[in-house]
Amino acid sequence: MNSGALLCLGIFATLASSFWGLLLLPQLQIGRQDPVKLEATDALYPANRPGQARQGAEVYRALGCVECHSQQVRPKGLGSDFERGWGERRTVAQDYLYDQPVLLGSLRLGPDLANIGARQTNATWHLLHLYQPKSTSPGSMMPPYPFLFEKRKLRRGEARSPDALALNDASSAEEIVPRPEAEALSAYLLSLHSDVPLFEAPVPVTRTNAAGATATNAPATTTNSPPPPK
Amino acid sequence: MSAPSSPTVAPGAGASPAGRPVPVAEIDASLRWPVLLLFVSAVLWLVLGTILALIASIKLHGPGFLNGSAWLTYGRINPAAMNALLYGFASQAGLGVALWLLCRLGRVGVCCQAPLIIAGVFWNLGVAAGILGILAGDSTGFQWLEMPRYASPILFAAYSLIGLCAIVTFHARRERPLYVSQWYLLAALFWFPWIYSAANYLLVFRPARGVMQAVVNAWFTNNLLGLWLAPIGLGAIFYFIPKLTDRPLHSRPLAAFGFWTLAFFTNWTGLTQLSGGPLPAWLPAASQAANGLMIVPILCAGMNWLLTLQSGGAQNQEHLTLRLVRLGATCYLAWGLMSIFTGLRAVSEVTHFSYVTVAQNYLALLGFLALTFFGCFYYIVPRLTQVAWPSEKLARWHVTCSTVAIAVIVIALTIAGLWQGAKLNKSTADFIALTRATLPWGGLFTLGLLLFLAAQLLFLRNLFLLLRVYGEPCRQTAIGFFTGAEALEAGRQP
Amino acid sequence: MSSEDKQDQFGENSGRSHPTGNIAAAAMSTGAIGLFTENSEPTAGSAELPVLLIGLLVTLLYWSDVYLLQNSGEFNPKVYYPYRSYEQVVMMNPIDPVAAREREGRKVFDLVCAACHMPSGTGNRGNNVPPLAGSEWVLAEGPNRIIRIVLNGLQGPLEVKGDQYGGNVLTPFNILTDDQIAAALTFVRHSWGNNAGPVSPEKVKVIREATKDKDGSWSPDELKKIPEKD
Repeated sequence: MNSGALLCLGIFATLASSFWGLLLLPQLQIGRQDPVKLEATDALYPANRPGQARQGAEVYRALGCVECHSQQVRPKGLGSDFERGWGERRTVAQDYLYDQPVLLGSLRLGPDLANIGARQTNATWHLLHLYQPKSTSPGSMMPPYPFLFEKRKLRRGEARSPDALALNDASSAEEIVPRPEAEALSAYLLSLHSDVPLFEAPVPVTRTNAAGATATNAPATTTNSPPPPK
Repeated sequence: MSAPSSPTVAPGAGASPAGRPVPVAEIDASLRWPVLLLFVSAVLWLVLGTILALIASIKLHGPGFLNGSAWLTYGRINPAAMNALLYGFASQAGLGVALWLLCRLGRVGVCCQAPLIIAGVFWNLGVAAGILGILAGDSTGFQWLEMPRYASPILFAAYSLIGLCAIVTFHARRERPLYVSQWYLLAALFWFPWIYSAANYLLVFRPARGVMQAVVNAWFTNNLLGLWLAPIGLGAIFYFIPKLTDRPLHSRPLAAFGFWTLAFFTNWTGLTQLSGGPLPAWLPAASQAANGLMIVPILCAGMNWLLTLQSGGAQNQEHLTLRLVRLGATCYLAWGLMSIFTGLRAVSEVTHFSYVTVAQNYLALLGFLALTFFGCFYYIVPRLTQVAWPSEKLARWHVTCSTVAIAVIVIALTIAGLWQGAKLNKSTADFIALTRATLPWGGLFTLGLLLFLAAQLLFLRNLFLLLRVYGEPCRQTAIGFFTGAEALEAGRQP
Repeated sequence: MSSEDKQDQFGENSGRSHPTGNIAAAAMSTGAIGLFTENSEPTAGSAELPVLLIGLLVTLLYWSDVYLLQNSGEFNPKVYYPYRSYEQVVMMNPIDPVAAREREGRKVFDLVCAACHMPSGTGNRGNNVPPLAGSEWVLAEGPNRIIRIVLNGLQGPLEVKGDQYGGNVLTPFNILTDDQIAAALTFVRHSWGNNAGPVSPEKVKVIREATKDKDGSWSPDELKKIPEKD
């Protein structure tokens, strides 16, 4: 192998193979998906995030939350995501259509967040947790984010603002008010749920359900049930 | 197969007139400024990256540490550290090593110095802009591609200059037959711009829709290590092992077989890190299939190196560079086997999302690449500057401490990761409790990084002393110039 | 050792004691101004490639091929781990029998009934075809009467939504199977604003058995004697 030209050809071909097979081909298959219409509710899935939640996604990205938190639920039988109650079903490509960027995460130093909006629906909890994680989850190793909040001095007799965090020092002369970034991040976390059953990810039926499975177990929600041409 | 070459061999067939090989000292002299710039910058970024990684590791077991500002939050410091290590240290050291190896193996000096120096400066500017951008909150969010869109084009432009010079130098080589290292180096130089530009385009500039972003990101991270940095390290190992033992490499056909199997299978294995992820079944399956096949290139490389070393006998086994290169080679084999193992679905069920992936990355970055590049530094820098390393003691301490530190880091993270992964993925043990239980291992990780940082500071001191000796003639001239000028002014003889 | 022949401080010698060391070459490679001696640049030997390695590669290629065949889900973008085929995904989706029957019924209707009753179920006043949308006959609580109409036909005069339809209103369609009749009627009773309950094939079978001796078509008076539902 002394020919530079032949070497270059081989080098090109080897990377081209995965560039084609792992990037271009899947792009044709799953890279041009559109939201699907759910038969049960006639709504589109996934729904576009409201404005504040979209700003929260930017805060999530900028703070690097993806370094400790994942946003994917693995299938039943692979890991214990289900047993931990992190989702009703595994996550699939359809769930991430409107995410920009898609932050699946690769390390779980904190719990998975794919369905945190379904697990923890209280905005105040999220704000308290961001300000001081140990206040809502004793022993938590998550770093606090005090810079997302503002400590304001209360003048004599001034009442607390409605969004001030209710922390133990209720009688102190300071109040802690979330900044817009904190509110946005909280809204984003509340918007995170992917538990609608889809055709490619039916909610796994447990033994107790199977006996009485009728229309109550959400019906197939895509309209293309005959095998599609490949 | 090329006949054993000697510097006086007549030029072989080739389009360009080969001519007599350039003397080694001239080659080294031509490379002096570009490669020194790349190496010194690399070492500085290594120190900075290690400091950032150290801060991040402290936050793992002391989350309140330095959390007053968004600039120092864990989610920004950690990617900043990894980017500093990958692009600031490993890539620059790799570029310097690649240039030097290509020139030496081609028996020709580098084609041009000024563009390389400009490119080196811009590369550093780009990395600095990128790191600051990440700390400021402009991170793109994609693993190892966090540098914002105003920094990555600088890197790409700087790389293009260097790559171009490398290709021109390669084309002008006097020794036409190719050696094994040149295959790896050419491959790396060709693959990097492709993966870097494709990933940036598909993720940052014209983002793909939905989960395809995760696919591109996984493809990129796998190829950054496996097709850009690893081949340069392999090229260096394939160069130094035969050279320092003064034996020919055991088998060229074996090396070719290993090269092509590595080239073909590595780039398909990227998606094993997404097994169980939101992708149709065939994507991770394709990667897992390629993952199993990776045992072949690893066996080839290992066999070649082992048989070459064995044939060398006990001679020259004490050479510091050879020691480092052998350590680096061992870490490469360990990393390769670890990657194959953790790519299997049954194993990744436990190790996914745990510290084991972090351990794997540090084994590659510090164990394989850093140790190999240190070996290159110790060999190349004296030849560039014609100055011996001032302190052999500092050098040996550097090597010993680095090796121990890397062992501590990798072993601590692996054990922590296996335990954490088992508890996380095979049980419903309380999440917070199990994260807290990894704290002691996190502490060991921090200690390992501290030791590594200390070792690098020793190396930095040695390097500084060497450069001071190197710069001594200039200093003397400058002093002489100024004292002479003063004396003239005072009307006295200097 | 002369000063021009300084040994590399880390122990590399010029290969003097090595049988294959090329002293002349080494000396030439240092050049006139070099301070460190070194060995010549590396070369590659020509030992043969072990056949076992090729065998290993072939074996692994075979294994990976088998693995892909089993685990790639037919390269279908809708098949996610742990499912192995599209059919398996279809099976795992909870089936709503009524919805399935309705989908089937739409096909039967389009094929057999829509020619006269119109795809929109509005019928054709001019051609003596009564509408199905909003028809009190269709919307009866039980399907006893309309099943009989389909099986044996209907003779007018018939009143539907205030309009009269005379003569031969419907010819018998007893060549359709029980499933087909049940499906079509389920569809009709749940379309175009109709919202009456489904019709089961078992009911059609029972009524077919009960009316197998019926001579000629039904008349509205005869039908009104039959209760709407059991």
